[in-house]
Amino acid sequence: MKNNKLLNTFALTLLLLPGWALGQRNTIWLDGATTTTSKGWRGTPNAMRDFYNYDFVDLVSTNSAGSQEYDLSLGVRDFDIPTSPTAAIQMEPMLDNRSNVLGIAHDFGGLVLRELANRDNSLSAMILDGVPNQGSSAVRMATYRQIPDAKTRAQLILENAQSVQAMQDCDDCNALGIFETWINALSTSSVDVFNQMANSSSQINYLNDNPPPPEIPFAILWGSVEELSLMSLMDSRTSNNPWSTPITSCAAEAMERARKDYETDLEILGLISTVSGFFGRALSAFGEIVGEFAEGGTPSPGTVLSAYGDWVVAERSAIIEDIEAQREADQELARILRCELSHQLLASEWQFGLIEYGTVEVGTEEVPLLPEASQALCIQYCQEQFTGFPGLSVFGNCVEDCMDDPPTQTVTVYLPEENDGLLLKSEQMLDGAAHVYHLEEHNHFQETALSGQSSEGTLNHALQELFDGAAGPAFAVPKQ
Amino acid sequence: MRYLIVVWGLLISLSGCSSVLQESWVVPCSGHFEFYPLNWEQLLILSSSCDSEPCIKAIDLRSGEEAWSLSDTLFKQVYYNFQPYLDERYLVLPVGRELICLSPKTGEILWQSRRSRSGDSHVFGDGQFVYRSYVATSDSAFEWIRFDLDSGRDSLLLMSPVSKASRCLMRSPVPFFDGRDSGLVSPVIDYEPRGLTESYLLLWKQEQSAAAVRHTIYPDNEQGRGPSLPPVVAGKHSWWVASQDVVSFDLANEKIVWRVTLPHGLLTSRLTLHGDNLFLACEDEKLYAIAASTGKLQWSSPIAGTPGRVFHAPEATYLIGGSDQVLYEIDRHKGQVLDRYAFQGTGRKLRRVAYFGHGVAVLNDGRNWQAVPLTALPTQLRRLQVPENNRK
Repeated sequence: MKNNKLLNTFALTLLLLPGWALGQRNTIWLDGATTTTSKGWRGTPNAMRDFYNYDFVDLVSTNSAGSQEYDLSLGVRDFDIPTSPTAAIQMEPMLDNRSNVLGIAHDFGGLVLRELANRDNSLSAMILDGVPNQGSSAVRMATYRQIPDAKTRAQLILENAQSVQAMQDCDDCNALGIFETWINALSTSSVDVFNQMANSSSQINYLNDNPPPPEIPFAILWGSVEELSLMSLMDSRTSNNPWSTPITSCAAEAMERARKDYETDLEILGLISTVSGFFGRALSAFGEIVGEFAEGGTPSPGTVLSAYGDWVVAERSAIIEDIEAQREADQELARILRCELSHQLLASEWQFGLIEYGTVEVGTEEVPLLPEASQALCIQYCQEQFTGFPGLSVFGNCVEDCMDDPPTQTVTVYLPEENDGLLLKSEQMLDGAAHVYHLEEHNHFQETALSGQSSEGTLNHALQELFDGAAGPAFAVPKQ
Repeated sequence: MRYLIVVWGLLISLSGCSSVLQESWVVPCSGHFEFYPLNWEQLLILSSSCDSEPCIKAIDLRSGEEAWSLSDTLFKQVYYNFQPYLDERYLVLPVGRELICLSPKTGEILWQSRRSRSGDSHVFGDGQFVYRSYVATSDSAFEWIRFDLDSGRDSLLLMSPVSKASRCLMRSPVPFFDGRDSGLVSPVIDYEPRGLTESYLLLWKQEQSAAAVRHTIYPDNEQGRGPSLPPVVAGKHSWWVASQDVVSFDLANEKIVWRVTLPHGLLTSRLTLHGDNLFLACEDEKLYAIAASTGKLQWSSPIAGTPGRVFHAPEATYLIGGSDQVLYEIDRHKGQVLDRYAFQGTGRKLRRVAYFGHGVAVLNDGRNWQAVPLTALPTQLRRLQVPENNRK
């Protein structure tokens, strides 16, 4: 075995070369609406420059005007006072009539960037990463009140989940507490940007209709998380490392402890599974409801949600009844189960709250026909397969095959639109994109998570491809 | 059932003949950088870590033993989807401003070149020279630089003017022999922000003249589009991906043979040719097979978005869905997804960079490279259902 050491004899010489920065590209990196919907974004340009060695100037962080930093609280546009300064107007001096500036933005920063592209010819391409291009229904759920003192939809969802906890101490995992802090930050913030990024806001309509979508090339990076997207989002919100999972791991560990304590009690094991499978069953119930209504034509979201709401009420009551039946024997178990049910309910109510604004995708899925491939169940299954006596060998083969490769059936499934915990897929899209890159299994905060040391996620691949020119020179940034 | 087991055992022993792997092996990845592993004879050259420093290692595919390693912090700069040059004697790595030539047998550095400007991340060669494009110092032209593989001596082959090189993309020239002439061909996109972008192939033939000829293969547009990915070149035939278009270009007669437009283009994957078909894993979550001679669509197969490169082993075609991080095994003739695999257990996901060949899959979970015989995929990985319509 040999170990060779590469010689970097030119490193010093390079620093002394005049014009070494000739190939640098001017960029601006805009993050989103405070840490409430965007955080960690400043680490991304640092990683792309210092770790991946791309050669660019970030005109925001290097702005010599000092106090004139990017101020997103100025918003996209003030319709009451059109002449008042906006974040985009404030940014224009930073561009200083440069040319071929690449803009990269997350969340609300993308809306500012789009307005900037409308106003200033310096920008020549944009990378829009997790941007509410069509507005955010989740933000609307968290900010919109029908009358001034009414509760927001998000607050009602929270109250529903809190009622399941019934004053139990669930602070050990505290998903509801973190959610409450988050939606309060969204709804009570003096920063108007949350109203501006809500769907149907004047600013969103203005950007999409008048003027039309951007004239310069742009790429969309959009994130999605399967199933418990809200819990994934809260995990990333509460932690410095957006890939860590303190809340979901805490809840999973509590349930696992309960399972171990009752590993021989089938009744309680069944109850534990029922609680932890609430979200999954909610998805199935939703699919069945959509399927039933779909047979009679296209159902309205209101009709589906009303029927789904009835299912939730009935299911929740039945589970709580079963939990309370165990309380006398084990108070701690009842507490853990109530806490977990509240998490599951919160995540599913949030998910299905978004449906009102999203789409439902229809697909097929292979599902097992038997709960488990036991010999008894397989014999029963094979008896049902043959009308007469098929012969011992044929019957035996059927049973063996069934146990070896359990039978499945193809079913139609109805799935709510993919989302990153905050934004639906359709809300992140914008017609005319040069490239659309799916950051799968990225929640809204993980879309900003790039550090040179971490191999988590695919944001680094997406940016490396674009910077290397795989989507053309509009997005290219040279190496140092 | 008994017969099945016998047949399965026979299959394993037969296919074992095509696998060089004696036993499964594991080599640590680098947390700092990655690239698609390169195969040289029985060695696999891959990204790894040596005493916490990024390094390149050559691993014996059969045993997992390390043949050599080369460490330097410079490797952090490697673009994960770069295109090095590799032949019987030389491995040439394009890394930013550096071009590093190694012996693939020993890892010895044969020569190293550093220029004042960054070069293209793809290099191509012909056994005697390796070619790379650079922005000229004037910023108004691109240069084709030729490096002698034996000595590393460089020479300027061609300087091609563009409006502003920092707004343009010129990939490294690909050498070809069209049956009569040998030459070089590069794709160029001359991007004009808020104006019309012009793109073309820059074609130069050794026997004809000193001047390079421009051939437009994609219409001028306002979106900065054009041929931006490395092509496939075989004799006089060449195939290019320009945004959503796939273009077949005859290098001998210098004309477009056919053009097809797909619903989406490529970003993370690359065009491949195997047998009579071209393969494209596109961003619309489909793998397309297109007849190389006519452009006729043979089949399309559902895969997950942002897929990795496509590998063709005798057994099947393989790729990793970059977004769902699942390994797809596809029947190359029918386009049917035969199987989908993930790592056993939870928390380990397949990274897009991988290697398939010599009867072995070398997979990456971000922590380790793991070699698995292709025949053992069903037992060593978790087999997933193959949905008929996977949420498309």
